[in-house]
Amino acid sequence: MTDLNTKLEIFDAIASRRNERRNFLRFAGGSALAIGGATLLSACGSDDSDLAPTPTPGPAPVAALNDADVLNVALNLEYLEAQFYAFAAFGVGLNANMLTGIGTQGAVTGGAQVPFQDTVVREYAREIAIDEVAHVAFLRSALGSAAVAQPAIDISVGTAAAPGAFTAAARAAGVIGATGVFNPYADDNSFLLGAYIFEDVGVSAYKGAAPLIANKTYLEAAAGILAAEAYHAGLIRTILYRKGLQTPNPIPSLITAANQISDARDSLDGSSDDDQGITGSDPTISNIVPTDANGLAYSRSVAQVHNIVYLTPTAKIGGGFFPNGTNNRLDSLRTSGANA
Amino acid sequence: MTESVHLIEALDARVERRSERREFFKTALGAAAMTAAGATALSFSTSASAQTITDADVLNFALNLEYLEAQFYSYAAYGTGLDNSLLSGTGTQGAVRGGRQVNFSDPIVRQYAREIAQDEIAHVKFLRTALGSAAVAQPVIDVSVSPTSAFSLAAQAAGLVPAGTAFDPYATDEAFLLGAFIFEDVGVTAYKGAAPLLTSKAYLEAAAGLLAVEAYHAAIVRTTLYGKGIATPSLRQSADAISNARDSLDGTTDLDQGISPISQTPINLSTTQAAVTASNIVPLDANGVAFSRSASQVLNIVYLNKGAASAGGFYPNGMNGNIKTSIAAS
Repeated sequence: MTDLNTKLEIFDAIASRRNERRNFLRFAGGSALAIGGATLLSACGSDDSDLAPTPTPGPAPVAALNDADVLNVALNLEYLEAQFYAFAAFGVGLNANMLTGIGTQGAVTGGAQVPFQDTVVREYAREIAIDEVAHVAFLRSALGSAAVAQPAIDISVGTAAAPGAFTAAARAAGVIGATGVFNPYADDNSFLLGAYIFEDVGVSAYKGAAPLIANKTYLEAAAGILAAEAYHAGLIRTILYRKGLQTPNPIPSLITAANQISDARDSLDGSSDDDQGITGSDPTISNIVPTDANGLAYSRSVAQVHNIVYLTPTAKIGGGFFPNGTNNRLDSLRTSGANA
Repeated sequence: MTESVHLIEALDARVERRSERREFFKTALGAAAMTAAGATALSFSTSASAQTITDADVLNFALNLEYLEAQFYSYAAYGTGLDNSLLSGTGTQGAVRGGRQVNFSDPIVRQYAREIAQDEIAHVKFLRTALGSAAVAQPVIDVSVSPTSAFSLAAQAAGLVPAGTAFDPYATDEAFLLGAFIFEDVGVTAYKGAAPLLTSKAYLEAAAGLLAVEAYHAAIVRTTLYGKGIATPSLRQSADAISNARDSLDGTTDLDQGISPISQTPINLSTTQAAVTASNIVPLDANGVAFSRSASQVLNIVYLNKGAASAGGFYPNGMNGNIKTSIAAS
């Protein structure tokens, strides 16, 4: 069990990790530059031992990335996932005391309990919901007063004329037509597809962020959440695959939709192919696990993650599931990449 | 990959990191790790000039595990083991004992077996390439079937078969899934425990990528056992028993969970909730974080020995490399 709640240890650890961070920044190469726009070389001598920096009046100095900023990127994603799964499984969202913090707090729009027909799918939804709520609580506890507030979150269906984020995502993927609506709360299969949108993104986000975290305790925690998200993604992809191929009564449209969502994510986050559907080129082998040629999971940069959750290939703050953007001390960690 | 370009900084950073690496081993293994026995067990000394666990040591430890998984899945899926060109390296090279193709009745499980086999073979290749001439050879590996084989001893310890009886993970789809279940969660906890030990950020990201894939694999196996467990409840119970057996080998901390449904009361929601039944596909602590195992704890499991050991179980002559000896689990 970690000692994350012992602030003295945290500060000691961070102080002793400053050298590591300087070393990392000196030869980090690609990973560091993937943070859209942030100038990281200014880390030397900056206030990166301060988990709860106070705002500086006047012209802002070039911001330095610290562990809290990275964990806050994750916290935004966990707010989104936790709200979706909590509503789907239990019909309610997060407690108000789980939403406060730095930045502009927003409300969640949308969300409803799924009338599960399959007992097992209901059990999975509950399990994942409990895990994601735990992730929110854990990151908030680790960050303390440095935690960002939940921003405005859209997990709604909307209408044909005024689409919510899920409808916009499904339309972009071609899962529904240009004038259709997608309701992930309607039934078991819709819920599974809605979940599919998030889980692999969470895996790639934590993998991309791992090299950015200097404190070893935080790193091990992030690795533990990475594993949890990968288990979740594996669960969802396995269920969709089996339902797609099961006999009797296969539902191939589930596999088609999952693959379309994967392609849509790929189209948003730039030219690299870092997403895979659940079937591959060989019909005799499943593709539950999206891996590169080395058998490793993919990474996404913070900017790429924002392209997906904002449902945009362009550089901006806000859109899609986060209408006003995610919350973060650094705007560079709230901005999607310019991939159009 | 070499570290020659930034050796000075790496050494400085390593000096700083040694103390907390020591801390990690102390925390993970208990006070016993800091005794003379502990120091010997891990080839890890408290003196500044003595052996230190290197990135290569950590990756070689992972490579030993990947050899085991790759051989099992390759045989189960395709009826053949790893190519000879993938087995050489430092240390004593050994052969794989046993292994044969599963005659799958469920075509989807056959597909999973092939997919996982391909991933694990890719992992062996990746680690060997990363390590280059420092890669260890495959040690002797036991994935055979007999009353005293590693799989059988593990199954007997879990109560899946009576004492002195063979367990054949190649006999049926269900046996294959249970055999796979023995490995996958262990791989997750091993990579999670090892990640903070790596000094190179590139290796760290790679380890994170391997960790994620092992978790995806574990989810495939656990989800499939859980789903099939509706019609065949003994599958869930067998998985739970294997989890308990692993827990009995690696010490008193509860690092392992079965898959059977559990009653949980959701908290931190906007209204008070009643207890509900949820699956347990994902083994996590109360924070929703996966468990870590130390190298010694992983060895307790794969050697099938909760005492101090340098060999046994799936590795009859032990692993190759510098991380190969366990201490008694506590």
